[in-house]
Amino acid sequence: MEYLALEPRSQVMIEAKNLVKIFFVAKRFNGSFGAVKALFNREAREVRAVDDISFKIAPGDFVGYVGPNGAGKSTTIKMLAGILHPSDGEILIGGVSPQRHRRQVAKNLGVVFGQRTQLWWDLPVVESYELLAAMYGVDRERYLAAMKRFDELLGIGELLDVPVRKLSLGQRMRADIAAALLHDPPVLFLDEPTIGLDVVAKDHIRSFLREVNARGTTVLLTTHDLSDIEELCRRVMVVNHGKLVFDGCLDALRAEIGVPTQLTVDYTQPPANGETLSGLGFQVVDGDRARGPNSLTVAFDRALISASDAIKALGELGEIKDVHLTEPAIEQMLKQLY
Amino acid sequence: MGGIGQMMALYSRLAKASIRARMQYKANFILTVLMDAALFAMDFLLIAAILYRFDSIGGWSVFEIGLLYGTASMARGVYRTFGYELHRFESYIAEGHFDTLMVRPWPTLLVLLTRNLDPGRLGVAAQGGLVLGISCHALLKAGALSGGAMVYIWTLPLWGAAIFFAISLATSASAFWLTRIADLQVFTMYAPMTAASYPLGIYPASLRALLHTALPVAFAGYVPIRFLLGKGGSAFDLVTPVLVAMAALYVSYWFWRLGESGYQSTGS
Amino acid sequence: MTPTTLATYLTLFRKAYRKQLQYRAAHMINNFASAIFGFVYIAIWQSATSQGGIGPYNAETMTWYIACTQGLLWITTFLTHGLGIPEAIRTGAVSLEMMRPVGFFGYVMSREAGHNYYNLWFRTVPLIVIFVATVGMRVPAPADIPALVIAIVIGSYTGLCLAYIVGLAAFWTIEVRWAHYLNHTLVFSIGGSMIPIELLPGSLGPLGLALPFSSLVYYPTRIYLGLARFDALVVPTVWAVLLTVLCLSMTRAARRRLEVQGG
Repeated sequence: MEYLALEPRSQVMIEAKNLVKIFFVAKRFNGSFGAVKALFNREAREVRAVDDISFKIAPGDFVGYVGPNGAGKSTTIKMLAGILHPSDGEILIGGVSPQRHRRQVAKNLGVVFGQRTQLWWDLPVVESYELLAAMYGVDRERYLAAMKRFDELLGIGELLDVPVRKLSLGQRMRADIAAALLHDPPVLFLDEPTIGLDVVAKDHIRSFLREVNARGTTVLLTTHDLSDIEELCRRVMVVNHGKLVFDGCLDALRAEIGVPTQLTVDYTQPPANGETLSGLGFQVVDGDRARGPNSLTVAFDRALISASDAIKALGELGEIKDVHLTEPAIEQMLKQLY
Repeated sequence: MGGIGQMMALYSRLAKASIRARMQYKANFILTVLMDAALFAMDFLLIAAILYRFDSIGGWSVFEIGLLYGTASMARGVYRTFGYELHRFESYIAEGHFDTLMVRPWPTLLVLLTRNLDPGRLGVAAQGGLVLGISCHALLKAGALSGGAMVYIWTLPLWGAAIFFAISLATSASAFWLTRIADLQVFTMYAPMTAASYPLGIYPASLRALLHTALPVAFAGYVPIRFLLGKGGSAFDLVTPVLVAMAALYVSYWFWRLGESGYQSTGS
Repeated sequence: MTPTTLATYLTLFRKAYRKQLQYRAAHMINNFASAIFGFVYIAIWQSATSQGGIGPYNAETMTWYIACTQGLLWITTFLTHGLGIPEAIRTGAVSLEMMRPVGFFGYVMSREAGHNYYNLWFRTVPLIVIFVATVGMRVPAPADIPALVIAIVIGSYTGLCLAYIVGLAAFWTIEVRWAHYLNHTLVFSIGGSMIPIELLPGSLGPLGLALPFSSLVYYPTRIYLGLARFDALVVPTVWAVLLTVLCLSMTRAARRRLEVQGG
């Protein structure tokens, strides 16, 4: 089995045309003979998980696919990977349809599922890599080069002898991403890769993904963590209720909604009046009365004011005891998009 | 086809890694294997104990039954070793791991099988081989079996394992619709594998019919061995194991692919 | 035993029973599959005894014998692996369970007895019904019934104790699947589930009759067939007492080990 290179046609690596995916959710019956009752009652309602989505992704792009839970992100990725068949529409990856040629497309794909591992659960990590190398026909030289690269950038070396079931979530995610890239695919899909990880682990993985993209790999990342997007993606696609509501570069998204960050500061004593802040570009958020008179919450655009400048400005109002920085939830952001 | 060579290399790598991982807990591994084998050996010894007191079972003597028992045990052991992950397919559907099988550039069944082996089950196969060996020896000495027949009998476990595998494949494919198949497996796997260890002639007609058709374990050993021992059937019976194994695999794999494409349209 | 302890045992019993109820549909279907095993062994015995039986064991009585043991296996032998103890050790929950005011032995036993009670109604009884409907089963003599009931209770209790011991072994060896298989092997062979113990060759017969495995299915079946009555309760009673003592002292040892080793 040779490593087949895909020929990107007219600068398009991934193309989705009018994708639709309809699920029929059958009425559920409880009780002991529920399954039997369900066979005889075919009532079902139609759910449009993906409702006419189209996009084109160029080679080397790093695209973020964002949306709240149930928006259709995972469904889209599954269709791109050939796991699901669209109810309507077409997909081309490097000019090949994953629906008609699943295995051929799979040779050139790396997929990481955030919730599930693809590694061999009971075996040491290194065995998974060797098995995958055998499976994808990666020769010894390329394998060793890849392992060296992964160790430098992800610190894989220390994990090699550990059975996968003993890894922490962060370690497992690193191992999984390396596994997906072992055969150096031109395209990488990541489905919620940073979910449940702590800040350090997220950082590690993000810098690795930046490296990967710099080498020319086209990356599509689904997430509902906005900071993933901020840190990594030049282009964002926002999906809600199965529809694509925004497709463009991150700057344009910021311009549309401002991407406000919230900063909550607890002072040792009630702070001075915050009126001066609005002139500097801060918006005082009133709703946080629960924290008491010693605290102040402001919203600001991180594109205009850095976090350290914000803290400095707020420090002018009194002696700071504690600082909390919160990112806007995607749901809030989306509300503003309408 | 380079694919097959590659698959073999992958498989042998997996086998070595699996064994190495289990040998981490050497004492326990060996003990479990021995006990598992002992359990099966015990079943045969019980038949021997019955035949210690009674003349025959359905006209079959202890060593004649040993041929059946040995081939069925060997087939069972081989199937459980290589079909380990297929036997546990239920969790792939119930917990949504099937997706991870679909992103590989190989047929999903192959990806599934290469995820795990259970080398410990070879203990059962070895025990079966022991019973088969002793029985063949005794029957050879008594002149009831020719050398050629004996050679032929030793090839049967391969087809028996293939038949068990085919039944398992169809059963596991049902998971695409039923999700939970552990109970179905008692019907289609455990009961028939046990029944195949004894002369099918003693069973009620309905059970016999079932074991010759939908769950064709009769051809894993009983049908050809019955002919070789001169207890009935015809020479054609000697090719039935291969034919039935091939047909069963074909049908089961078709059913698997059917479930797979259903999965691709409904997603679960 | 204080009233609260008894109340706790009953609660655990009832909870375990109810927990199993949700699977009853699947189990009912499963019972038909289990019955096939019975048919296989009955067929073996019917053909073996076709030219005549030995002593009280002929084609007819052996059919009843197998049907009875197959049913009783579900409340004596086919129990939760190690009564759930190895799993509790693996997850660490065992430290919590050992801390409870009721004794660990009582805690585990009453929980699994609840499971057994479920098995009685949803496994044993349906199986017996299937056998009655297909191969026919003798109705036990009324005079035998009290002894039969006691034998079944003792047999079930003994089976629980044996599984408990297997489970406790996990405190020392972690992986106890081999002990689980060994237990089953012994019940199937010298425990008399497949062949009446006295028909075993050589000294295996007398040995089997003296060991606790015979309490599980063999002695109760003897009473069912009308071949024994209260005399068949002697060995089981002795073993029930001995095993209880063993279980309690092993529990103490396990608790000490837990305290030394930590969670």
